[in-house]
This record gives sequence, structure tokens and C-alpha cells, in this order.
Amino acid sequence: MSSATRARGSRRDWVAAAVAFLAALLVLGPGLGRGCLLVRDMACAPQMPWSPRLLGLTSELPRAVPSDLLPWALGLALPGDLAQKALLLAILALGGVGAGRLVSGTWGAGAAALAYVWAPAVFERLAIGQWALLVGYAALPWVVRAAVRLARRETSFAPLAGSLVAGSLGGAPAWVLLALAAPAAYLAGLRLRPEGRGGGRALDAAAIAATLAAVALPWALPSVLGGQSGAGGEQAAEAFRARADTPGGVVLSMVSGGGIWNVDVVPPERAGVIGLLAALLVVAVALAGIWLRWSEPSVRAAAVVGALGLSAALLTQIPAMAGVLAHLPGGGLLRDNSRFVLVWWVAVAAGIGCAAEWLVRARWQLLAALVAALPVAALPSLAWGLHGRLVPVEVPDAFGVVARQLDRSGGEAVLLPFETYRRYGWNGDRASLSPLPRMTGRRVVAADDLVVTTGGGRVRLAGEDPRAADVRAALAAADPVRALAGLGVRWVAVDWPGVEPPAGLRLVAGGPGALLYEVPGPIGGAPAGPRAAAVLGGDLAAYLLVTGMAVGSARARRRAEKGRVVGMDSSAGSAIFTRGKRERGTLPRPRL
Amino acid sequence: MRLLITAAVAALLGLFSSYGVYQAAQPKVEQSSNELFDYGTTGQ
Repeated sequence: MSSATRARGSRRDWVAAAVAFLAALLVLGPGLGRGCLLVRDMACAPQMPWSPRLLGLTSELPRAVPSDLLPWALGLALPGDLAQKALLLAILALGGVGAGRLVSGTWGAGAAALAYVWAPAVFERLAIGQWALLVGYAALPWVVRAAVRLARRETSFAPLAGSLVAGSLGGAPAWVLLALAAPAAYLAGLRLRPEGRGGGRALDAAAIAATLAAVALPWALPSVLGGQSGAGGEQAAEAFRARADTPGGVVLSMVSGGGIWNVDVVPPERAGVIGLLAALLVVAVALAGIWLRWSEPSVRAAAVVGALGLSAALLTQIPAMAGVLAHLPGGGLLRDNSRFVLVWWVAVAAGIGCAAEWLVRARWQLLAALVAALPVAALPSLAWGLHGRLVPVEVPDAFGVVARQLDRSGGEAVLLPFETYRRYGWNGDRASLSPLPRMTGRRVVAADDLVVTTGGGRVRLAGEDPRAADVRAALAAADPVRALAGLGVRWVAVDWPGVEPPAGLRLVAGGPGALLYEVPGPIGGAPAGPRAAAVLGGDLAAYLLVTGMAVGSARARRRAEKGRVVGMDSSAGSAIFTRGKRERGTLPRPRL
Repeated sequence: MRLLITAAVAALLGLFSSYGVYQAAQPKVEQSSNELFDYGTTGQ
């Protein structure tokens, strides 16, 4: 790679980084202020202590494994609320930078970065609080580029391994996106180099498969050892299937970047025909851009990966397919199929970047700027904290009092009301999870049923935590206090003002917003979670395997690079060869 | 010609963004706001 090419690449990366960071700032807006963002699935704790839950060592479904390790690790250096904001900012900005790197040219990179951050699916997933899924979204363009470069022998396996590991920190839903994208991007890269060595390809394929398997272990092992099938069931499949969030029907809704099941988290402009036309224009311009720059390997791979993502979203919408997945072990990972639209947006963002870059090279800068701004014009409600949906709030002090008491005393607690979501008055009546389970290192058994309002009325979708099921049964027993004690529950926490705990409990701590009661009498032994040794062993094996492959591959590439003839010095008549990555030497012309 | 196309695209962007801002400014009515423990409401 020449120094001029390197400089152009560096300028492109800086432009993408600046645009992505500014766009992320604009999206989060007032949500970046002090206080916790509690929005549906997005939980936040002012302080998050270490807990076995972070590694999936409790009986609950490992939905937040290993994603909760990220706010926990950042929380070692920052207050919990700032750690949450830093994480959200990093997710959006890094995703944008990755998308910018898929396209050549500074204009193209900037436009692609903006389009990737400014996506309808980003609005919907932020509004429903699925930040961990967005970790996978942020990693997608990095995975695509690294896979293409690996296939074209431009780099070792290490960058792909690194981006897969980073993306998989989002947990199971993020992993599904990566598992779809990585092989497809590699294959798309391969087709461009038919002269490549078969043995190397087989090794690459094995490394990609092994890495994907290894990075799934942190959440898959606790799930399997805990006896959770992750099948989801028909009711959940029906509740979470994609819906039309535009007047254009479900297919056009997904093509235009949305289609989430929950009407409460849809961008407001998508309700009208103009909003749909604007979103479709973004896609049309992107497709034109891809067509114009089809010769760029990363763009071509992004298009293939995006098409695969859209196909996955549409195929899993077919009732017969959804029915099959509802009963398959792990099929729950594929429900809420509109999330595959996130993969589609890799292609759309790259396409917008290509269109802008093509216009600039055609000396049409003003139109290029308008094309780059098109995603923003089509979705202005994404700005400023999703137009006021991301509002930081102060968690009442009583939660901290309860959490500290639990940490001091030990024992397992049950959280009442025994419902998964609540609408706290202090959180603007927005649906959210309770912050309490993340504020203590002790196990707080919370409900994991989901209550969803459908056209046919309210539906309760059963959770998969056997401990939560036992607690629900105990609370319904004739003597709930004795039943809870028999289960090994020592504490009952109440974080909702209108809820009375079972009679016979002793109030020990708390204040306005949260109270802690002690269960009297002899407390039975609480059951252990999945075997810690097996889970930790799996985590260690995954770490060693991925690190070993990445380091080994990088070393092998360095060895292969050494001594490779890269050019001729015509004036001296000598060959130029490499000694290391940057170091070069010359071989004298042989005497004949 | 270039000017005409650029002006048309700029007008289109203006229309889209004005429409979006107008829609976003409408009072937000959550379908499930009466349900204390609801996760959400499915669309059609």
C-alpha cells in the first residue's frame, strides 16, 4: 500500500469518525445528561457491583450475558449513569466509523457513517432499549470489511476475530447478526479472487466457524446447563413478528428499515405516506450507489450481507417458517425478525456513501451533500434523544439503601410487584425494567414473563427462569411467607408504591420508592445456578481459542510477508523485498 | 439542468424534514399507557 493511499485512507477514517461522533451526539442529545436512562429493555444502575449474574451463573435466562459486563467494566472508572452514556455514544459512533470504512473517498465515508447512525431501526431499537443488539449492529461493518480483506489475503484473521469478539459482547441477539454477516461477507470477498488457495480458504472457514461458536459460549453454556431451550413458543413468535409500521405494509416497512412489532417505539413520521416515501427514497438512492460502485469489494460484500439480512427478515415472517422456529431449540433467537433489518442497513449505508462519492467525483458537490443529508431529512425525529424519548432520571435513593442492605446481609431477594416491566412515576411513566437487580451483587429474583397487548387482548408470555416460576407459585400459595422461606428467599423488595407485600414480613430498610422486607423464620437453601466451573471453563476456552487463532494468524501473516518481493527499482535494477511490515530492503541485480 | 435537479432534491428534502418535524411535534399517545406492567403493544 503506497503512502498516498494510506494517507487517503486515514483522512477517510477521520472524516467518518467525526461525522459518526457528531451524529451520535445529536441522536442521544439530552439523553446524555446526568441520570439513568431507563427505557424498556435498557436498564441502568447508578452503581453496578460485581454479581455472578454477569457471567450467567444464576438460573435466569442469560439475556444480559455478557452485555452487562460492558457497563460493569466502564462503571469501575465512571459513575453508572455516565458509563451508560459513554457506552451508547461509543456504540453509535463506532458503528458509523465502521460503515464509513466500507466506502472509498472522504465524502463517501462521511455519508455512509451518517446513514448508518441515522437509521429507522436505530430509532426503534433505542426506543425499545435494546442497546445490546446495537453492539452487534456497530460491529457489523467492521466484520464485513475484515472478512472481505481476509478473503482477499490483505490481512490476517486477527481483525475479523477482534470485530466478532467485540460484537458478540452484545449477547445472543447481537451474535445472530454477526453469524449471518461474517460467512456471507467472506464468501462475497472470495468470489473476487478465484485464484486463491483452497487450503487457506478451508482454514479461514474453520476459523470463522470456530470463533462464532466460541463467542457464543458465554451465553449458550449457561442457557444449556440451565435447561432453557430458548424455543420461544408460538405465542411469542406471533407477538414479536414484524409489523407494518408504515402505510406500505410489512414488506415495505422492513425494506425501508423498520417493521418492529411494538407500535409504541415507531418513529412518528413513518405513520404517513410522506415518511414512507422518504425512507424508500433513501433505499433507492442507496441501491443506485451500490450499482455505481459495484467494483469496490467492500461495497459488494456489504450489498450481499445486506441482501441476506433483508431475506432473513422476510423469510422468518412467513407463518410456516415462524411456526417451525417457534418450536426449535434456540429458535427464540430468531423471533422479533425485524431486527435483521439492521443487517440490511449495512448495505443501505454503504450505498448512500457510494452515491455521495460518485456525485462528488462527477463534480456535483451540492447534490452529494443533499444525498448525504437524505437519511436525516427522512427521519428528523431521531434527533435530540429520539425527540424527547431518552430522558435521564434520578433513581430514588431508597433503591440504593435497599441494595446496600442486601449486599451487607446476603441471601436471595424477590422483587415485587412480580412483573417484568413497570411504569415508575419518577421515570415519566415510561415502561422500564427495575434497576434494583443490577444495583446489588446478590440475586434478586424478578419476574421474566412478558405482558404484551395484542389485537386479541393482553397476552402473558411465560419466561424461562425456573426460579421465577417457583417464586410465582409461592406468591400464589395459601401461606406465601412460609412458601418463600421454604424456597430459600430471605428478602422481599417492593419498588412500586401501590403493592402490599404478603402479610407477616418485617420491614427492615428503604424509603419512598423502594422498601425491603425480611422473611421471618428458618430459610431453606436456595438452589445453585448452572455449574460455575463448567460456565467459567467454557468462557476460558472461548478466550484461549479466539486469542490463539488471532495471534497465530497474525504471526503467520508476518512470516509470509517477510522476504516477499513487492516491486522493482528500475534505476538500480534491484528487487525490493519486505523484511517486516514496514521495513523494506533491496536485492542487487544478479550477474549473468 | 444540474441546478434544476439540485433544487428539486433540496425541495424534496425540505418537504420530508418538515413533515417529520411536524409529526414528531404531535402529542405522543402510547397505546399501552394505561397498562402498568405492559412491555408494549403489537401493531396490525
